[in-house]
Amino acid sequence: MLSQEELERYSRQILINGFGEEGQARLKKAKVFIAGAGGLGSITATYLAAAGVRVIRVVDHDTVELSNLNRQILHRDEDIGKNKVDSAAKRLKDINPEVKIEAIAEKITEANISKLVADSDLIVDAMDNLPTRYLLNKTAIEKKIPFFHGAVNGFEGRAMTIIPGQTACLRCVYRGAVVEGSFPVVGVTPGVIGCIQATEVIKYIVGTGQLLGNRLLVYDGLNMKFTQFKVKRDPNCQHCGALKDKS
Amino acid sequence: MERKIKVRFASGGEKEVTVEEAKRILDETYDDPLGGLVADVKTEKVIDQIDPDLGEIFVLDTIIGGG
Repeated sequence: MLSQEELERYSRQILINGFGEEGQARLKKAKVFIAGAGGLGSITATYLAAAGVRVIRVVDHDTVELSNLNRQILHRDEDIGKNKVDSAAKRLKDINPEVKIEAIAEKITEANISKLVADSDLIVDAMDNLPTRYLLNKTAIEKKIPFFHGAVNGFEGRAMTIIPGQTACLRCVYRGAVVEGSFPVVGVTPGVIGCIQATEVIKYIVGTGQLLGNRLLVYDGLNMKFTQFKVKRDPNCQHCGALKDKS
Repeated sequence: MERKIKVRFASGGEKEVTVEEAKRILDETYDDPLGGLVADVKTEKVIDQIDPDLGEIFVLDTIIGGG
């Protein structure tokens, strides 16, 4: 049941065909896990908070640095040296005081991932490295919850939605080893990809539209092109191969 | 005249290559420690071999940024 204030706050999205009060009520019950409070995390968390997701659990062990501020729009100069999750929580509460923000300043590891994700309805990939992405992908499959992948580099971006047992997972698509490193990026790129991830999350929760499953969306900001490629489940995938096909 | 395959790179640039060269590019992409993907532009499907009738392929390296 939505309050009068909620009906007003979300009135423009409630008007969307296929969204309605029912969709808003679903958002009000949803609990989202966002791995990372950086470039992608800033955008996804901002739009999911504004949309009225009930609980946003954001996990990041980093502190804010000056070099983050070209893209990590939840943080300000005054936050430099502080935990990213704390400045993220403060800004998200400013955007929507009705949303519960669970800010956890911990590094995501194999030992704590299951506990961190806990009873979240889904996982948003806002990480900056492949090893943790693979860990999130594996956890989503084990818990049978959706995983919303995004990645950026320079003016390039990628996005894909993973529904365990129904679509290709990250490990079906990316076969590479787990190499870490820093990357170049202009702030608008995580802006574009983060918005796509948030759109997918909202669609999934509300139950409308067609998700980006079995499709890898490729964004080329330099030439302003979106391309998508069909991907399929790998029956021998080390993460999801054992899951029965539910598609 | 030897048949050519157009190769486009997500990281920028494109060129026309022989079938043999396209096979080498595909092998190198999948052998890259960071991984990568090759797709058939016409069918929009990710591929793991170069078929003789391919017209254009798209090479995507793995990107890891997000923070």
